[in-house]
Amino acid sequence: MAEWEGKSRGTVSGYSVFIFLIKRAGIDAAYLLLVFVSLYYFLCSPRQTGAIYRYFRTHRKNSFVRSLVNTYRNYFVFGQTIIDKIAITAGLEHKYTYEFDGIDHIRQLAKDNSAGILISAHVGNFEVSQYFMGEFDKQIHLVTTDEERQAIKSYLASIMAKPKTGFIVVKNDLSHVFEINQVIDQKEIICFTGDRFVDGSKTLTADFLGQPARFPAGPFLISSRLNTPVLFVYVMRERNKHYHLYARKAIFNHRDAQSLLHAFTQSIEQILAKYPLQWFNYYDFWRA
Amino acid sequence: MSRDEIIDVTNTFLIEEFEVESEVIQPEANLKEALDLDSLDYVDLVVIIESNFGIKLESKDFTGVNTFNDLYDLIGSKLHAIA
Repeated sequence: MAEWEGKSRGTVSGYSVFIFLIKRAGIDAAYLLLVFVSLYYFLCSPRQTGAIYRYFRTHRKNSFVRSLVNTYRNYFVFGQTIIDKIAITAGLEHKYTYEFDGIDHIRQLAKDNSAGILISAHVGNFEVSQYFMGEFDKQIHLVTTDEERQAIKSYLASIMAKPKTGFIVVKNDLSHVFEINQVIDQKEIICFTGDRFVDGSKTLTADFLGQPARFPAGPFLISSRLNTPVLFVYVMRERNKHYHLYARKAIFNHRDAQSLLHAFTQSIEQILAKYPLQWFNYYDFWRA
Repeated sequence: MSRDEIIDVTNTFLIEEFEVESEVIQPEANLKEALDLDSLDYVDLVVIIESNFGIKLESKDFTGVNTFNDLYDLIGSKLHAIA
């Protein structure tokens, strides 16, 4: 299946182990456990491992050995971003440092008397951005198709500080349509992930890392039709619990979803060139 | 606004926004199939209807809206309510 299946791996019990460890032994102890958890996923998730291996081997032109090593490192970094998300949500944001590249774009978006659209991707750790953007008045509403995330989110909400990001889950009953519309009416900020789609969604195709790939049409159609500013936003993990937030203004032709998608793919390619390990789509992204 | 005017305005923006041929818009045709709407396209549809007619739509309004006729009826009833 080319498209993502609509649910992420990871369970509430898995999260609870890490939360226990973070609270009792600290973040670094949780990273240590990750050495083994990453190895487990590397060895026992052949489909996901194969997809990430091909990303390194085919699309990043890594050697055979380097691709294997980087696939393991990819799992490890992904685990670190999850631990960081849990730790930050639990109120340990003071353990982290951050810097912001393109903060003026976000400030302008928050100041504008209109809704704003952010498009992100499954690279880095976008969900922690809310904890670094507390100075802005507008709330961010993340549109997600990840149903399983709801169980994990509910669990995190039950034991931790109140989440600051609103989630809008795309559902068959179309309730999300009116939630999105309300955000636009209230001139708040809506965030789409531009790199995943589920079965039955319309897609657009664009060259990405040397091969055509399909992307969800919805975020690009909506963003290109509305008269609202569009930013590409990524929160990338660096060494020593440091995060680097990037905001880039999308340059595209109004009502031209394909030109917006082209700008998006170029933008992700640039960010992945700098952070090649932080590509977190664990399925065959390029299969037609 | 008369029903004919509602149909005219609606069809005009549907053809333009969803880039479909006018022939696909038939009163009893299924809206979702004819316009090839996916879950996020409905956001466009709602935004376009609200901005073109100055009405406010709610989630429950779309219950039972399957055909273009249903959509014209919905817009008509909303316009009537604010008249």
